[in-house]
Amino acid sequence: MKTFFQKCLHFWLSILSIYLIGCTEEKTVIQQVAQVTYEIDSIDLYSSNIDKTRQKSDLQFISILYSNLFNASIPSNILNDLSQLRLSLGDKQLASEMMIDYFISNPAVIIPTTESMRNEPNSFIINTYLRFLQRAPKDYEVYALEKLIAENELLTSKEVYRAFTLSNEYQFY
Amino acid sequence: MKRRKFIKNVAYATGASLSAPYILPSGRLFAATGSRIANHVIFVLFAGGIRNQESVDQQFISNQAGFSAEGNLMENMLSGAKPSTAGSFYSPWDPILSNPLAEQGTLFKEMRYNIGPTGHYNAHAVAMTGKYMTTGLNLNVNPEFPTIFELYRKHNSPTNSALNAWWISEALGPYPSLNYSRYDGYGVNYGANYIQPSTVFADLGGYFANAESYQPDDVQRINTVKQFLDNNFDQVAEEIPGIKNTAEDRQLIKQFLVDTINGVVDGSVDLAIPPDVPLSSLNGDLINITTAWQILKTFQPELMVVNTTNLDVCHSNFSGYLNFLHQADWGIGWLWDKIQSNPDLRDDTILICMPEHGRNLESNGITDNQNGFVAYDHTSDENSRRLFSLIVGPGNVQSGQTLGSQGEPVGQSVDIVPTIAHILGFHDSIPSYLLDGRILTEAFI
Repeated sequence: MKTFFQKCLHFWLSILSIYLIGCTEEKTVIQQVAQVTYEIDSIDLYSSNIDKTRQKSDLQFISILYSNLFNASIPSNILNDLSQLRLSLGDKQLASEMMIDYFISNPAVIIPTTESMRNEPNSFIINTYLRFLQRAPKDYEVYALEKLIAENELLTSKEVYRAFTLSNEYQFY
Repeated sequence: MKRRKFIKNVAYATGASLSAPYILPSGRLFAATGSRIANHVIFVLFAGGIRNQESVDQQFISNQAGFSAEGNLMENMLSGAKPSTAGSFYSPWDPILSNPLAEQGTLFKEMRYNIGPTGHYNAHAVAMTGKYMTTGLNLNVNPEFPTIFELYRKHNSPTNSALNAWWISEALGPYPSLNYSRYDGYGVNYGANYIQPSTVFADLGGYFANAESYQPDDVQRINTVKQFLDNNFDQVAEEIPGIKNTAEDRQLIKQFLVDTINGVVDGSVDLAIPPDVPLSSLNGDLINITTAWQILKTFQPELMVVNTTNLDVCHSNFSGYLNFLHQADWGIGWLWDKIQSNPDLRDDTILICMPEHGRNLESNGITDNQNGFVAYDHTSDENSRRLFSLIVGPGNVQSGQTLGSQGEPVGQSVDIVPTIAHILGFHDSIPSYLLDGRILTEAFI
């Protein structure tokens, strides 16, 4: 026959154990998610591009593009305007290209210089993958892009950014 | 020997004449199969819902209580004197054409939109597919049956790129989805380039005006990097809705957009508005028509559909409707005048105008502030099914001919698609079950 005190103790110990188990599991989950701190936001990284199976919607594409290029959330008026412009053209690829060109021409866009790309191609490539594709590049990808940059003397950092934002992988998440 | 040589020469000459392509007035060649009447067709969906009373019947305000004035609001399209009291009820613009289009072509004064609701999108879809739709409006969904653009791009020989097919719409809403259908075997791969000029050139053009531009060499370098990235990713972004131009055509269109935006700013773009009229009168319809000309002179497409919609204010503002009707007529006259000034298009372009549907016989009782005129809706009564059409072109179009009367209409809304296909020479290649209408052969010699 348990006393009232024992009953209470048993109840609270049960609650505490459930809480602790819950906390432990949550901690494990959090530890499993790879994270990178990139400028102001912390983002989850993909371990591989195989996980990207869903195509971005128009709104997702525009707002993510803006965030990636300016490291800031897109103002709602610009998002509305650009969504309307995208609706106003039948060729969505054309609309995307024109938006990218508009953003890239903006003085506030954050793009490394071509000189820094050529001086440190390895870190430029890794950072560009992290920034736009949210994953670390494979070794062969770094190697091949380094080679491309070295072989194409006129290739600029803006052009590389444009290629990343126009890539098929960038259309998916 | 001489006889044998003669027969041989005749045989060669006959063979050559059978296999040689036709040469059109413009000097362009096209294959002998599927002979054409002209190489360019512009279909103006003179839309927004126009009553025959105020257009071809020239009744002006005589259906308004207490008024009897009649007259022609559309002096560029129709023969007839303007109302004597014009200036009191709308701002008359001097006609730009000395010879109205009706005298240069065939006017189908009474046509019908026979089946389905008289809604703007539905009636646009009927006019652009040649199929009546009774299953509902399906707003914001691509039409069920192939559009004229898909029929053209699939059945015309040789196959042409989307640079040859344009859909220019005054409004957004459901209209962007009219550049291709959901029909199996047609669809996006045969669609038209779509543009809504008011947004791209007027309201938001500044976004694109200073966009970074790239030369072909730059594009090639970018594509090399993109190609590498695409090779390492299994998914293809083919599900992006919308038509796809080739990279080269995309570049041409991009340059066109930037040039036009900058041309609007620096005043080098010809605007569809009389020189003595303030720019504030450049309404959406006239911006659309301005853009139609910019595209025509830049790309010389074979097929273009352009609409007007502003006069739909008639739901609540009959005076505004009269003004917009008059101004859209001026815009069409301006467009035809521009075409006649271009040596490549002048003798090789056929213009077709038709409203998508009419408006009711009975007013909805709403009066406007300007003149107290009553307004009209379009809710599928018999009057809202009344249409007219105008077909104008070079020598092989019957000129000065007027057909149809209210008791004996000639032609239907669904006849425009087969007629365009006939003009461009691919009508016989279209499966007959895809067309509800017939060729308006009366319009041609």
